Amino acid sequence: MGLWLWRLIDTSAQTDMKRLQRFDFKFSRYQRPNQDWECGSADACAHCPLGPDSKGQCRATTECKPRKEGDRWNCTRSDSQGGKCAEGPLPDGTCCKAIPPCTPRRSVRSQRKLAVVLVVALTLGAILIALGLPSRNQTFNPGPVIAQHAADGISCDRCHTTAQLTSSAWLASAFTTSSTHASSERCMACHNLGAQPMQPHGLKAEELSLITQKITGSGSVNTAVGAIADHQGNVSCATCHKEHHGRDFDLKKVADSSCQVCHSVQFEGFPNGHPDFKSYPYDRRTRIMFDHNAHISNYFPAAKDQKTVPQGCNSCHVTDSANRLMLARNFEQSCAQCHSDTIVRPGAAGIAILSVPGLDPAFLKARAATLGQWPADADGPLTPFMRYFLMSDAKAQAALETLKGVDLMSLPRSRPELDAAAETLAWATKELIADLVISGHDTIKKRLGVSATGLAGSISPEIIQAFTRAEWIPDLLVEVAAHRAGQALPSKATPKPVATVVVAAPAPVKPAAKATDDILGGDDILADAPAVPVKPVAKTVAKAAALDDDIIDDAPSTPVVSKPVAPAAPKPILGEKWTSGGGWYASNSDYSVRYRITGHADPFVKAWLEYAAAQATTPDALNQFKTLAETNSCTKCHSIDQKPGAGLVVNWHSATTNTQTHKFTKFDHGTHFSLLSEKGCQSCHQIDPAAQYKAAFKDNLNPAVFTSNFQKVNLMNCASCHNPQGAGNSCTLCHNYHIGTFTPTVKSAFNNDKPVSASVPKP
Amino acid sequence: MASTLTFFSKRRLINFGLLLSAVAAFWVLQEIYANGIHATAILSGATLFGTCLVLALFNARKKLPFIPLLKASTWTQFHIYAGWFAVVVFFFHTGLRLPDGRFEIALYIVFLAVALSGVLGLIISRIYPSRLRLYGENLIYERIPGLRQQLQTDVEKIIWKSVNETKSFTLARMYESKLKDYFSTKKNTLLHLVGSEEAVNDLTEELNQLQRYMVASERVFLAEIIECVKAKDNLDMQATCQGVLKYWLFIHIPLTFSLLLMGLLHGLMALAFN
Repeated sequence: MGLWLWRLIDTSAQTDMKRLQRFDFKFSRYQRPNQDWECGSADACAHCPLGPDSKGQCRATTECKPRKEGDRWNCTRSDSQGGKCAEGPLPDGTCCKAIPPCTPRRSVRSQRKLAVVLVVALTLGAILIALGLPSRNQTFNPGPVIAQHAADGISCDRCHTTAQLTSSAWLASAFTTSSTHASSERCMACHNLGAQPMQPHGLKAEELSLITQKITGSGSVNTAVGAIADHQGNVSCATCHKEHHGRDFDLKKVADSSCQVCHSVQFEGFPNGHPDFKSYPYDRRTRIMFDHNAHISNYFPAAKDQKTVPQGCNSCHVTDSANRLMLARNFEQSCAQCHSDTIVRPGAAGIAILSVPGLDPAFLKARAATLGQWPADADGPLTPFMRYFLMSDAKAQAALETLKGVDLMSLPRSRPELDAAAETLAWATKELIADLVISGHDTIKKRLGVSATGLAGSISPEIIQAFTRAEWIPDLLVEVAAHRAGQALPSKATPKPVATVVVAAPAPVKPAAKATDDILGGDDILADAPAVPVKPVAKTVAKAAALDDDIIDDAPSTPVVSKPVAPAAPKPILGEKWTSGGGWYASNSDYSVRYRITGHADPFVKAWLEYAAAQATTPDALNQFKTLAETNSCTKCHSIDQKPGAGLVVNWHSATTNTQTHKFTKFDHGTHFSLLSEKGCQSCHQIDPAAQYKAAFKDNLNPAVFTSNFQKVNLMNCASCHNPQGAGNSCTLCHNYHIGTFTPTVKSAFNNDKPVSASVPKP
Repeated sequence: MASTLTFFSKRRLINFGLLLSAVAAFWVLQEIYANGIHATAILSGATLFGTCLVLALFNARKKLPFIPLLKASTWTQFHIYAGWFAVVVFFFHTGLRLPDGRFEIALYIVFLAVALSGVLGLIISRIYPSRLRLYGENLIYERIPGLRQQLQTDVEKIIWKSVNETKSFTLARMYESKLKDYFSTKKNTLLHLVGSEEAVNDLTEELNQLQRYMVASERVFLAEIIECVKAKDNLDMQATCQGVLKYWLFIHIPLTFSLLLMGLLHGLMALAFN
């Protein structure tokens, strides 16, 4: 073999041998290899001097054309043909040596030309057939798509706008520019990526600019975006996701260089040059105010019952279902052991929801004729809850505005306009209470503009009807009806002089039934209580009864002597004592209907806080919210965030996970647990004892302004593993491109033609 | 050192340098175009198609010898190195991945066939012409069938003359048993492809072995026949090598046109479905 190879390239040898060719003109025929046809007798050395014509026809006749010289015909055969023949021409002047006809054959050059024509024709034919067959798409499919895209029923036109076109239109579409964008929109039929999915990161330009501003200090987005986006700033899906590379191809795999088209601050890798973590992973204050440092350093060691003290981070924290985020366990699991009693304190009064506010006695006296009944000894303020009800009443709003900063219990005599405002407010209050008595939940809905669900707090009619008790405003409904009709107050409802009202005492008939807080009592009777003047002594009784919320003690003031004394009936407890488990009660002491919190996450208080928070779009409304929030302790732990242009939001829960939410960064806690040092979670999350954690919650509604309980995570901690030689450090290992909350696109069961998105989430 | 280089070595060095420069320039251009994210298939595909088109012009240039557009050898050199460039761009374009689609597989195979036939052509055009020039008599390819016929006739004349003059049938029997077939058709094609002389040497040796059975006058004819055997071997070698030099183009050129057609369709598809 080696010898052969040597001979293959060896050009040194030359041998002498018998020569076969002769090149003198007598014996050598001129070759024309560029002609298409050659003589078919050439192999026998008998080809004629003419050769075939250009169409491959044999032109053989005779070996020469005799020439007549004198009376003789002479042979003219050329020397290359053998010279003159011995026989000579025939007598008629024709050559005696006829050349037998041959079948001309193609020259090599012509054969090659024919081969070219044949192959081109075959190729064209095969292409045209392939384009015309029903299996056209399969033939020109450049390769298998990933398994998800290869499901039954998914054809080429699901993704390619051009796929359903005719073959000629296919080729024509090569010269249009719209197919890329149109095809990307087809992706969105199945992939919900937000409202502007093809914008960089799925964000609006201004959102992207804001983020850029936050990170770089400059709001200008890298102009390189323009290099990959169309004139509308859209980046087509195929820019990063290359299909037709096989069933198992990772379509989401994106090279770092792709990210660095726009993120032009390039660096070698995560360990070398990656921007330091500014505050990662803490991008906002915690939703639940929980001072880790204070609890771990102070409260836990000082706890009386050490069994209730958490033994580690996982006592309160647990991973989400995807093992990605660490979530806080709920109140019952984490906080209730120490904090449940502080929410529902035994003996604490309920929250005054509705009340008859106290008014200046002098004012009441002066306006007795036009104001009607009003408990002269009411001295409570207008509750924040009532203020929300009165917001729908323009007159009441104006009156409240006028009375802003004025103590209703002490109206200055020098300002008569305040009296008018106070009367307006008083009637608005009576109308509100009357409406609630008459229409109940409908009034709530009408006044607040939202469903009464939650805001009504399962209040019963009997509780509301406490306002029509004899000691409160017995003729409330009659008076309000007359006032609304523009009529004088009816005689029955003729207001008692304030002084008289003040001394009003429970009617001698059924005193216990009138004065009791029994919410099931027959308050209809109270409504009809005669407005008769009572003796001043009764004032003491009435007042005492009101103060105690219980006039039963005082009712049987006359001892029964003539009859045998029956065993004393057990004395029912009333008011907040009776509702120690939480709920509604009417308080005679301050003419209020109160609600006692049932426990953590009380739905009534929660509903009101949410309602009030949503209304807090102005400074006044914000103050109103704060006043309402002060009636309970919810916001001691549940932080409140300002939503730009949309009021406030109360954070009822700590950070929750949403598998459909995609942030710029992602981290999988679960896969890192086995790598922790003996310090456990503090391997990465180290408490910062100097951090002013609580300060971020005081008078601060911006969650982005905060101080974390923990030091930022040390980048080099991550880089010890995340490097090219270790766990990898590609951009998409920790970063998402598509940002936002995307719900899966589902097909409607009723309309299979159009896939619909469950919602259009905001990023 | 440079002065010791032959013209061909210098030319090869320069052309190889130009090829490397072109590849480097293409790579830089592709990186700039890609900008980290753009699919470079359009750029590499267009470059590849354009290169193939220019390469195909070489065939047109050969048909238009009267146009004074550089020397044929210059065109040949350009064709060779542009071909290598096309191969490099092809691997840029495909990313060293095997295709999956039916049409793309066909296109891939056709390109490889054109490229490999080109490489084969380059190899044989570097080996066979030298051998044809240096071994034996140079023959015009189209005359070879006639010359084979003539040679056989000459051998038969020698045999007849030998029989008539020596009254010995040794040579005649040898001709009938072995030489007649040898002279009637082309022989030992594969051996000639690789440059082997084994067959002719064996036959010559066998003929020489006959001398011991011959009278002195007969040996003269034997020597003539051995000359003819060598001439026939040269004739076969010329036919084989020249045939290969001509017929490799039967693969290279037709498939080039096929490649251009398929490449054009592939490009249009890529633009339509991009």
